Amino acid sequence: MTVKQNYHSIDVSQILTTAQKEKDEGRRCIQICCTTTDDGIDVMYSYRDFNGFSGVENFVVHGLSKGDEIPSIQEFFPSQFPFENEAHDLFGINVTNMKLDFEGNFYKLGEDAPMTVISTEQLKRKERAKKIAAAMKAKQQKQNAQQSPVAKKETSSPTQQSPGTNNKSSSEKKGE
Amino acid sequence: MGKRSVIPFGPQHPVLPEPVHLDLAVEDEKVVKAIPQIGFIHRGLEKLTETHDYQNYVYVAERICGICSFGHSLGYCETIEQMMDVDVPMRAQKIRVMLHEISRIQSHLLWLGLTADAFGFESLFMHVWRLRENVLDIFEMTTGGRVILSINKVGGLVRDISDDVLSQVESKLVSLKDEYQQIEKTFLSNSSVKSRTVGVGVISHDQAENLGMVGPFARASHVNNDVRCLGIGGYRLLSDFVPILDTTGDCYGRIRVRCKEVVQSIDIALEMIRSLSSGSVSVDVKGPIPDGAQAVNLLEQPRGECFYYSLGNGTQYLERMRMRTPSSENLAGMVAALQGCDLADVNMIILTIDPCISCTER
Repeated sequence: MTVKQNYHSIDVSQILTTAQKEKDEGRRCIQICCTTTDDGIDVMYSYRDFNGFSGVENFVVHGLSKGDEIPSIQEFFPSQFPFENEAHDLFGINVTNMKLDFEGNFYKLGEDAPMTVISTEQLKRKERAKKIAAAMKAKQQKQNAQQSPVAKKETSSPTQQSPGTNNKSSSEKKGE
Repeated sequence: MGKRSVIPFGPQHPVLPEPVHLDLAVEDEKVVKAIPQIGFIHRGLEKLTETHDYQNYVYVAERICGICSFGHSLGYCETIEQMMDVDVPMRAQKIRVMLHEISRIQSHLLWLGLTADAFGFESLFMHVWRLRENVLDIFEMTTGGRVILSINKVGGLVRDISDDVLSQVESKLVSLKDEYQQIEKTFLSNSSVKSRTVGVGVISHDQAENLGMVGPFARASHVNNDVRCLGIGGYRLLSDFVPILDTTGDCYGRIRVRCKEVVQSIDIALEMIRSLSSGSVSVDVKGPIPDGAQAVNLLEQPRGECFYYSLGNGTQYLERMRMRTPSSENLAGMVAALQGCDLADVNMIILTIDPCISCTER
């Protein structure tokens, strides 16, 4: 068995209302995770039941930039202070109204927002993977395009079919 | 009201096994406020997904922490297996559960020894760590390592464990259970242990829920969030699992929960050994992780619920690997437990919460 999980997209303005709603429905925030993607920084809030288990609900805010502001949910879930401070220190996201704010000193770091720095090797790898994926897709499309006229041809001239590919028509023929 | 002063506690302190700093605001020897500070050993292990492909990252994952080493490699592998839709053979799943429970025994015995040492109960400390050596011997017999086991891989196990070795493990666990139960009885019924822990650092059920506490820390306040109940991975194979809960919410309750969990883990490990059937222990997993594939996984580590999240980008390297460890969830609970306590009880409260800072910082 694996963990049941759902992903939902939300806006920055929905972070607090979502936290309130999830708490009212008996779920607790179990983590906040930032991810640097091609479109910016995504912030994912994960919620799980207090009692029982109906899965993990993940609410994702997409496409934030370094320096953008999001509201703190420590008012509802005080245990989230390490992750909000982490979002600030490692990703440069400004979390407002934090109850426990380390003001950028949660981790002792050599550079600002190190998790937003993408190495050239990683960029190259991603570019190459995209090219390979595009080539594979094009190849697949070409194959599909080549197969479809053949299929049309096959349906129009049953005599060219290989044995066993259309049993119904052959049995019908026998019946005839 | 006395004069308020701030006492710096840690990161180097005899009762702290790992570096956490606390600013304790005290009035007349009573702690009125505690502010935790971590960040002394942040290693940027989540960032290392850029330089280690998903197969090799197992070895990074198990180095997040020496105490929870096996658990982290297991949690990581299960997350990737979920993303890539891999079915792990039954034998591998059972051996994983067995080793994870033995890791829990090792972790709890390490903690029990340190707690006994903090009391000044030297003989108990030595007896408990003597028992822990037997557990490390089991690791050495089965995997070759005593701390870092390196037996997990994406798709199963790196190597199988022979039936001869498993029968030796079984007899070692049976004798460990007998010896441990004698020590447990001494520890839990000792009057000096009770005088230091009963009614100290109390967290109520509601507080524990509101603060999002996990693991034995939460279970001592009667909050059942033991992930093993959910039957994720090999845990669905358990015949019966009842989490150990306590109602007191104090330091003694936390000690009692962990002490009972050692016996429970021995029983689970024995059940897994006795129900093992022959078969392969791994399947081949090749190719890149699909672009945009993502998975969430939960695992009950010795200190509580651990959360794993990974995101693929179409290459052999992960876009993101996230490990939210139980100690980072318990920091808010630790601060609450310290508020209002006597200065002399600070070490007892921290030790019974058992924070793992290496895990927290990664």
